[in-house]
Amino acid sequence: MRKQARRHAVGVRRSLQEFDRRQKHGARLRAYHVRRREFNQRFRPKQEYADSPAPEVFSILNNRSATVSYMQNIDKNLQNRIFTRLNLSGVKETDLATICLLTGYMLDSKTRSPFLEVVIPPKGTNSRKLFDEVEFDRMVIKQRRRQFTSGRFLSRSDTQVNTDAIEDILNVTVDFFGEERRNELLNLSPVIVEIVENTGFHADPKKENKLPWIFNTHIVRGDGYRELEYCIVDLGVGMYDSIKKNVEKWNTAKAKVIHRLTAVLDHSTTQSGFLTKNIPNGIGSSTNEIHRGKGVQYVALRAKDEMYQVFDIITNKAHVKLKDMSKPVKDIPENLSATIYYWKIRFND
Amino acid sequence: MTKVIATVSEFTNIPGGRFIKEGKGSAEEFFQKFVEPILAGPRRTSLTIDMTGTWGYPPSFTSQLGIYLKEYFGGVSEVLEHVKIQITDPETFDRFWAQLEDDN
Repeated sequence: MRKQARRHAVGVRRSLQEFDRRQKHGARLRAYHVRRREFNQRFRPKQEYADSPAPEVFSILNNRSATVSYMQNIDKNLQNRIFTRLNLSGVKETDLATICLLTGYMLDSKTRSPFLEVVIPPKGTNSRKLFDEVEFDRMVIKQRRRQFTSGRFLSRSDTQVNTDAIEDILNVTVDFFGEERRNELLNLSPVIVEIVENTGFHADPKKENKLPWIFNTHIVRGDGYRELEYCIVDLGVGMYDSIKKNVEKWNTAKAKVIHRLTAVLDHSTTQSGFLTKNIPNGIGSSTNEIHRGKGVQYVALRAKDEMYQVFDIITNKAHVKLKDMSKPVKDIPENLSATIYYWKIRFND
Repeated sequence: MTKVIATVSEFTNIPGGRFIKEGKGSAEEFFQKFVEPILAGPRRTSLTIDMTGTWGYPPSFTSQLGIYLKEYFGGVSEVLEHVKIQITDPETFDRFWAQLEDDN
């Protein structure tokens, strides 16, 4: 009995000591935070940012010119080391592609991100809902979720095709649309592989810098249908500029003269027109080998499939709608040094 | 007479691009690891490539595989004579043979 009582007493003493230790630690921590706050208030003035409100329609799909112009102004400020607030609080309309572009820009090693502050739309707005649905915060911290059920996904790769990421995307696509759609969805994998290979080349032909490669999806459950949006963004030089610089068949003196004449005579659709005309025939490769440079041609061919509701390529000044190649979209005056692939698959329930 | 089979689904579920440097599942890796070793065996006469059971084939993969086969067998007619393709998707089947003749 005595032995037991002694053991019990020792146990109580130890737990009291532990309790006391924790209490002291908590008090010290609180005191540290109070001191730090006082120090920061006294000696570290709050950083002032030049506020730059985004356009209400902050959309690379529907308001390309204003959106690109806005991003370029932000970049100019950052390059001049001006602390700038990219303020999206007034944004009423945005989309998956624009959020992916913004994330890519924030992650780009060329962006002077220490001078940048991003304010996302406030809670309760439609824009914020989309930011939350596509998990903007996870994109920015480059967190990839292998197991997910919502249909949202992020991956990042440098120069290689990330087939693990593609497999995740394919599995979630089949889960979302149902196993019975698997055969129809079989061409999705080759389309993604060809896109990431092409963006890999066009984004950074010299492979000097590691650039962000953003891939995200967004699900929409409508009345009687299901939609899955996909977007791949690759920052770099852009597809059009890359072709013009690197592909021999477009880089001859004759081709340059023709191109400049076309640009002088009609600059409204120079880039979109060029891509709309040449993508269906293959745009050529930097290796200038005849059997290469046909990836985008394949993508354009597959984009005609009924399941694709939208299939767009936005690059430099051009916007190419692969679902409707009959009339080129007007170029914008600003140059976007990136290639964005955005597509949407829809099936009726 | 020996018949050998190379099965793509044993190599990858998602066939990738042309070369190993571009990532996993490339045609180059498949040819090096699955096709060349079995062709190097004795008395081989014909090769069957089983392309069923995967998530589709990018044109880069089929094109590069065709190029390697042509190099190995010595020409388009030799490939036509010695190689058979098993695949359920007729579009990829047609594309493979069309690319084989085009990519010269």
